[in-house]
Amino acid sequence: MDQQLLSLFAIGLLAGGFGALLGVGGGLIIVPALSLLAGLPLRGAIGTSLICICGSSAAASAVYLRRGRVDLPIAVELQFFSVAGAVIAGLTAGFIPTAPLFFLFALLLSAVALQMWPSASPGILTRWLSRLSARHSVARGASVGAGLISGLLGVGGGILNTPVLHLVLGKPFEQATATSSYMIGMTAAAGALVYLVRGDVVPGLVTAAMVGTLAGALPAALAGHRLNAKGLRIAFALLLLFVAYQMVRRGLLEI
Amino acid sequence: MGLMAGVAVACVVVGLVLRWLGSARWGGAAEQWLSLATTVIVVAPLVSLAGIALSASRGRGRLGVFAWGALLVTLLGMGLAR
Repeated sequence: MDQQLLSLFAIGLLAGGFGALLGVGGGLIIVPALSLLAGLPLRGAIGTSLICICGSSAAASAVYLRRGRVDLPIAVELQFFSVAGAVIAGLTAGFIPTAPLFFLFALLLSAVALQMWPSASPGILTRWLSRLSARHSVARGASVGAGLISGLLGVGGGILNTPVLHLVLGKPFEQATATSSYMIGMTAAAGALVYLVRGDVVPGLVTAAMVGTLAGALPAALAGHRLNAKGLRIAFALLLLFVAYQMVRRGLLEI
Repeated sequence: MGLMAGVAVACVVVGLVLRWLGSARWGGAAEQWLSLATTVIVVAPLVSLAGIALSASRGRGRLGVFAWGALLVTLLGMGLAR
């Protein structure tokens, strides 16, 4: 039991640090680790991951809010749409056919990853985004998508929020990651409450991973501004490509 | 947010100490403290948003509408999950 708690703490530590640096929740690490390594049922792993994301978001946001790096009006507006997506996904999880969703999101993530690469010349997506007259509508739609991903897969939704804030709304990358960190806490909380109320989550196991995410997120948020944006963008693009690959694999398994 | 994260960690520490003590009597209390930590951390973003909603209601109407809307949708989701 103690060894299991320690391994959950280590998983949380890694996910929290990684998540705070890149403005994502860390669920990309937590869900596979909990379901494959700790042997939790997928629903339990997703619920646990969402709670951990609340923890990492709270720790990182406390720092980012104090430093004024969060664009609060944008965050609150987009949160409404991502929360709606997260609640819908949490309530309908298990009824929605997931295979087509996996492929669609993999395609989207790959396109965004290529655009995030620092040396990439402005591609089709960037040119298309720069011509958009209804940028806020696109951002709202993407936020609903981020909420749906969050509630269905137990990730924070930052994988969509950060590119949308950076590419569509033109926020500097550091501000986009900080704003995304704040947004994913609320999105994850909305989804986590659905899983908690349904009784899918074991509190004893959650806490070990949660303390790990808190311990990992705080130093990462404090030191994150010292890292250069180029490095963060490369790390983020690689992360998106990795998730896209995982999604294609999961989609193929679902067929 | 930072304060609530700190409270959650404190609850976890108390819960783990009680679990370490090991007896059946303390075991139940330990689980309660760990559950409390989970609740605190999940509620932290809601409290932050409620604070924004309350302060925005006075001046910036649009921000308040979105903040209250997000809280309402969250509570609705909880209610439907029951």
